[in-house]
Amino acid sequence: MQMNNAVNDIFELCATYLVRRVANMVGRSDFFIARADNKDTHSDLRPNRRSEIFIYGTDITVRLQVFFNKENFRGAINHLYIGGANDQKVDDFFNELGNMVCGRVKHIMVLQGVNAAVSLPIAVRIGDRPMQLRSEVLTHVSEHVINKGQDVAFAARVSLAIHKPDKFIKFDPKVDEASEQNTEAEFF
Amino acid sequence: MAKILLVDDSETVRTQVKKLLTSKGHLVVESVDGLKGLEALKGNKDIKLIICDVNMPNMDGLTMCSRVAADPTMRTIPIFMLTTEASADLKEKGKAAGVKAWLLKPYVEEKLIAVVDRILAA
Repeated sequence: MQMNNAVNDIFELCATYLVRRVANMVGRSDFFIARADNKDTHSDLRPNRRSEIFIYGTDITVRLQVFFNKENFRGAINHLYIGGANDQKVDDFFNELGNMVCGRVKHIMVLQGVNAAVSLPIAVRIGDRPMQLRSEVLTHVSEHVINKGQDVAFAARVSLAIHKPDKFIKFDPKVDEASEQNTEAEFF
Repeated sequence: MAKILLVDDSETVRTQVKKLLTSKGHLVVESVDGLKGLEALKGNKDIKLIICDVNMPNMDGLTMCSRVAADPTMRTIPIFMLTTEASADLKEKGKAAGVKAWLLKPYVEEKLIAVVDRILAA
């Protein structure tokens, strides 16, 4: 039960930061979140790019994968760049997004005594396998997003393995509320 | 207003930070890694502040800081690290290399500007 709570907390933490970062960076917050797990075997959605980053350590390994269609997402971030967004900028956006999300999640873990470190973002690459979403999740997404004429810009998958469950007994995902807004610069 | 060198391999970060700094009247010179940052410093003697990431290709931010600290013509330029790295070890290395401030990404814009103002006023 405690392990399930920790897993859910970490999923929520990643999802919260992912949405918050995208909202902050893109300047919009009308995102719909669907959840999937890595046991899913059905797939209709085949994004052509993905970016991934790891939080790893002796206590936990978290893998964040962001799947996106560059042509689809280019429009969402076009306004951020002088001259508009090209494919390279979309890739850079998702690499930095993963870096920021995992950096912050790792920081929250470290503050609570969890051994965690973040990998450098793995270079965005052409998808070599389809994203796997449960068909009912896709139906849900379709009902809420596609049928309303909104754009499906990206999807994310979080996989995690907790190596030392005792480190997560008192894990508090709500610490992020204080952590992001109240993080002050350190002066030397 | 000051001329500021911004060193980050992410164009997304550079674009966001540059927009913020130019909106406050600063002039921003961009570099994509530590090596290019050193080149930019040699070509822009009037740079008053360096904002630098840690993890970058070719030359990382802390190595660049050490090179700046070792160069008599550059060592007085204050350096401010803007990074997702929060480890005490790296901060100590930064401190030893002459870094004046350390702010975590994702940053709150007001706090980034407050750091810039405080360092430039010192």
